[in-house]
Amino acid sequence: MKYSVTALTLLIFTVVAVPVFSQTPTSTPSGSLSDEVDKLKEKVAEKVEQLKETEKAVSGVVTEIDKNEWVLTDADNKKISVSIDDTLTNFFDISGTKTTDLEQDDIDKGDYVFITGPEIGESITANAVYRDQKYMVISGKITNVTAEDFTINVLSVDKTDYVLDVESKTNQRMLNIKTLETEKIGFSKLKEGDSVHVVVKGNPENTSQTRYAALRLLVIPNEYFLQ
Amino acid sequence: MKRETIVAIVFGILLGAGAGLFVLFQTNNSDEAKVIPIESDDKKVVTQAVTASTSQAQLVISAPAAGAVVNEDSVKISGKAPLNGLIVFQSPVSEEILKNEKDDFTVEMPLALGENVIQISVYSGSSTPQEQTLRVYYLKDE
Repeated sequence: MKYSVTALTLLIFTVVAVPVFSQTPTSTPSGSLSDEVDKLKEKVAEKVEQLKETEKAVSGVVTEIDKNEWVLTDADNKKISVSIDDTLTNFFDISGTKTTDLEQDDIDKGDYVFITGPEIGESITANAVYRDQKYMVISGKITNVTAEDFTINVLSVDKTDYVLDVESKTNQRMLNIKTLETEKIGFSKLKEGDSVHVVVKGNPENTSQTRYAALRLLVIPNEYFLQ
Repeated sequence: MKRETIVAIVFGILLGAGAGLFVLFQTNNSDEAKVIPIESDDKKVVTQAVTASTSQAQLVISAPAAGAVVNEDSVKISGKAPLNGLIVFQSPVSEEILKNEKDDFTVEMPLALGENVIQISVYSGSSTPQEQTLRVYYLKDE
């Protein structure tokens, strides 16, 4: 009898095992520190990559130069403050497909530039300043075609009347309303009432200028809208 | 086996099970958060979309962001525009025209070194377009 009681008791304690949950997991201090450092490194690398991907630039005409504090005026006539650092800011000129180094003194008031760098408050600390050509895209309706001097008048969406010189080097294209492809055209195809998108070289020193030489010209014939 | 022995064994089992359940529930209710998790910034990313300033607000450019700096000589422009609208992309380098047969569009535009002014116009049922001007900056990796 005693043997059977002992055997039964042992069996019960072997089979019915209560799991222990009260123990707090601990990790070795050296392993934990190494993990944290790795995570921190990963986060820094991610941030650097993110900053590269989200890097932005602003552009405008240099309207004020006061030692290392510049003011740009952008396309919407908004003033942008720029801080120049003597040792950190680099200066470049963009011409065609080449970028060449410049000195700070090479950039004057009236130059068109774009700037990369962090925006702190309402000022941008310039990492790099690039002097570039200003381009504009004008769109509107052709209101007049003058064959004598190869000009067209375009009334833009904001109601500005532009006079555009169509030169032999102007790239002129028109939408084929059946195929929706663009085709090369000559001056004789331009007519009043058509919609037009024109690329011109801007003049940073005269923002009120309304006469330009057209570089590219894309026409959407009025017939497209009458279909 | 004596009756008292069997009663003692059953009583012991019940007592043990009770103690086990007590320990189990007490542990579940206790503060387990000993490790502070590192919060991921991925959840905080907010996508900003630029909407045309007209009252219809139907032309939306979702990428790239205005003023984006890229190191490739082309950029994919994507966004939303009215169905069947005629979308015109005009830049100093190139032009593209497409009819928006879906709700959204994607087009690849070549870039010149430096600033690229890209005007996006959409004609939808009228010869007056909705317009947006996008500036993208292409800089080669030095």
